[in-house]
Amino acid sequence: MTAGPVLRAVGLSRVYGQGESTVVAVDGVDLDIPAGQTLAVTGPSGCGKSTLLHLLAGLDRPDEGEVWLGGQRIDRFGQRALARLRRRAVGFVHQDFHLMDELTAAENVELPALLAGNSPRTARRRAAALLDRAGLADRDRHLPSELSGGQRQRVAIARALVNEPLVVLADEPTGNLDTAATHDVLRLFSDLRDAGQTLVLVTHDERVAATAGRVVSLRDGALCEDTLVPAGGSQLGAFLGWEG
Amino acid sequence: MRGRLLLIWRLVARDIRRRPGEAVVLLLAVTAATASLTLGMATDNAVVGGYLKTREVTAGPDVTAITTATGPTALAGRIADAPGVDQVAAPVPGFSTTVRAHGHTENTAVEGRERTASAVDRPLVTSGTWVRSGGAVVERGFAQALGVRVGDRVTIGGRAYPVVGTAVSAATAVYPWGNWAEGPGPSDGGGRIWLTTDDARAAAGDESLLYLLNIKLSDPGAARGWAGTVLTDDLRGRDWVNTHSWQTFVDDNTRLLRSVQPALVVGGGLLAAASVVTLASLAAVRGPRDHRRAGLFQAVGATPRTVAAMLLAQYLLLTVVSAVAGVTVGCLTAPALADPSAGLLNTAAPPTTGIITTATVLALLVTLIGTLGPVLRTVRSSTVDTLADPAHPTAYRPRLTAMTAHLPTPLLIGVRLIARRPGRAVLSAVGTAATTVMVTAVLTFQVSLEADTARGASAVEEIRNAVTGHVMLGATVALVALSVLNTVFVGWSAAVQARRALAVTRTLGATPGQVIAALCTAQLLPAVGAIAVGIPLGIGLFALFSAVVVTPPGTWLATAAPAALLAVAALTALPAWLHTRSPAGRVLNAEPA
Repeated sequence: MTAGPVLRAVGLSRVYGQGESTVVAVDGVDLDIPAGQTLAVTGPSGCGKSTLLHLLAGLDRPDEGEVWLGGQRIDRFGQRALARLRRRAVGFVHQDFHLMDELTAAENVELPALLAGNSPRTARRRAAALLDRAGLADRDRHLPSELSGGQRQRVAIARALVNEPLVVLADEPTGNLDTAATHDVLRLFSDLRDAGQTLVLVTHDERVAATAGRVVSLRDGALCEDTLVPAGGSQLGAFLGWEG
Repeated sequence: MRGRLLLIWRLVARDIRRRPGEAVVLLLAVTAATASLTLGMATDNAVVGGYLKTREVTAGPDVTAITTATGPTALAGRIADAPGVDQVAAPVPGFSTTVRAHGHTENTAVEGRERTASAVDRPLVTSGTWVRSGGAVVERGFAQALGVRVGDRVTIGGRAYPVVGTAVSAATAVYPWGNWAEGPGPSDGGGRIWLTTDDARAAAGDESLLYLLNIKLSDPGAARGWAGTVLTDDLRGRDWVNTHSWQTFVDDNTRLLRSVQPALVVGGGLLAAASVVTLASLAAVRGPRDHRRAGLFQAVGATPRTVAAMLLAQYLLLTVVSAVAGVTVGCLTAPALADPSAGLLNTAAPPTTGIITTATVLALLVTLIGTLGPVLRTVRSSTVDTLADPAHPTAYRPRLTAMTAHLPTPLLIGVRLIARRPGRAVLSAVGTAATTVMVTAVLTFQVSLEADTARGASAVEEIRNAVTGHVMLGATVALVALSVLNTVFVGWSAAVQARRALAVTRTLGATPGQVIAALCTAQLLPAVGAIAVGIPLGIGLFALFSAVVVTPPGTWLATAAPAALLAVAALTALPAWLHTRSPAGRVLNAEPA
């Protein structure tokens, strides 16, 4: 954990297209995300949520503004430095899982650990522990095609965690899942939050957003609302049906 | 590093297991190119290897001295005492004459030999027995040329001798350069026959005998210069003495195959061009998958270099395997090619460093030319685009769209398909041009060969022509096979990449037949250009390496060109037809916009 915000955006802007077809996807966003916070970014389709997340993860470069991660300004990093940063400090969860079809669940989770230079034994050990935590210990040798949507997403979350990142960014993590699978994934996020993991969730599902400790809303690329939710845990419990 | 290597290995191995067909295509294409090139480079090596093995087994001489001296024993004694000489075998009498067998008449040397083994040059009997009174042993390559076997008869000096055996020896070059037993003046070439000494003397009749002295030196490497430095006038005496070192036999043997090597090397080059087409088509088919894979790697923290290494590893690993296979096939095939007259013992010589390096460089070049472009394009793409977008965005060409608007539907779609992927059209054209060049060269060779034969070709030319013909035919068959594969593959990749666009045209009213015709048009238009360029190139390429060039009749070319186009259309129609079998709606639902 670092003192102050783990992730910080200052005047962040991203513009697509030229001339009359210009689209401002992210428009001057300022955001501080302290360590251990679960932040939900909400808003209608096309409001710039995913673009903001890509900028925060170093997957895309802003046209203006700054991105700070773990005390380092990353928006000026080159491709190699950004790749190393993603490996070490960022875990990314995609809406459509993006698992390697030809690798088993365990091998998918091991992938970032091996890329980070860990030994095969260490990678295997970490993957086994994370799959166990995700309730998929008995599915470690299954290919993604042999897993349900919820199981695939939990494998993707385990993969995002394998290098113990400073922050986990999830882009519509439940967007392709049914209610039961959404519950499984949110339970896993709840465990992460309890363990002090910094989480940023992009979602258009208000119920999922309500499970976060803080919710920011985006409209036409700009932040229009920033709400702290002190009782986020109880709302998560309500959504998951844990109350009473 | 160990972890990354494991990761790369894991991905490559799984990829091969999931798509063995793609791996086999790559292996075949690169192996064909490297094998042909290796064969071109290894024939010299194989000739040398075959000669050295024969020389070792038959105790071949380092130097063979031929003299007209009537009393060669004194000369043999002087040579035996000369510096650097280890051993001199007893003089062997011989003469040059003609032999008749099965209606053929050929020049030949006849040697008189004892039944006991000589100290130097002990011919190895390959069938039948060694010389006996009244029986002849024919050098194996010469026996093959005459068409005689053990039990047949050959006529020497008007007297028939049964063939009691065939043998190989390293004391001369292979047939048709086996007739050493000629006095001063140019040699007519020919074969070599062994009789007993008494039979040889009797067969010579009034013909004056020459004597052959087979010499072993203490330093065989110095054989080439030995005669110049040691065989002085004092040693030689007043008699005519001619010498041949074992190195000159090697030179003569390799010269026999000189004309074949261009065919092999050029064939290898054309096969390499066709292989590039195969690999580029393979990379195009794999493009969307590799693109997505690269996006995933980048998203989880792989650097561009690591992503490039991973994408290239899947090709390079198979390339190295193909290079090894190509070099092995080339080296194992080379001895059969290296000994067209069967005068040497076949031996598969290990490849030289030069062959290994050249074949590996060719294989890597073929792979990199075919695949590096798509890999670099993928690596340079932003991670977000890579995860979200198709592998190769298409450009909008308003002028072309307007120009093609009035064409019939198949031509309209076909031209627009070419415009979407001009690189693929170029690839397709290169592959067809390579095959056209080779087929035209073979046709030119056949016509030129007929003219050459009518002019009266020598035995050497006949052997050369036969081997060249086989080699060109082999290279052509390999090229045509690869070209068939390429045409199907390029057609398949065109259908895969344009699946969505073609499905849309079907929803707008284009029939499956029109879509198939459009895909065929997209292949045929580049093929027309390729054939138009390939025919003169093939004749020109043949002319570069051949003294006699006769252009094939116009009717041949007029038949071959439409036949090739028909084949291209038929081969493209197959994958096109397969793609039109799915309902358009299903294709549109399955494909993202």
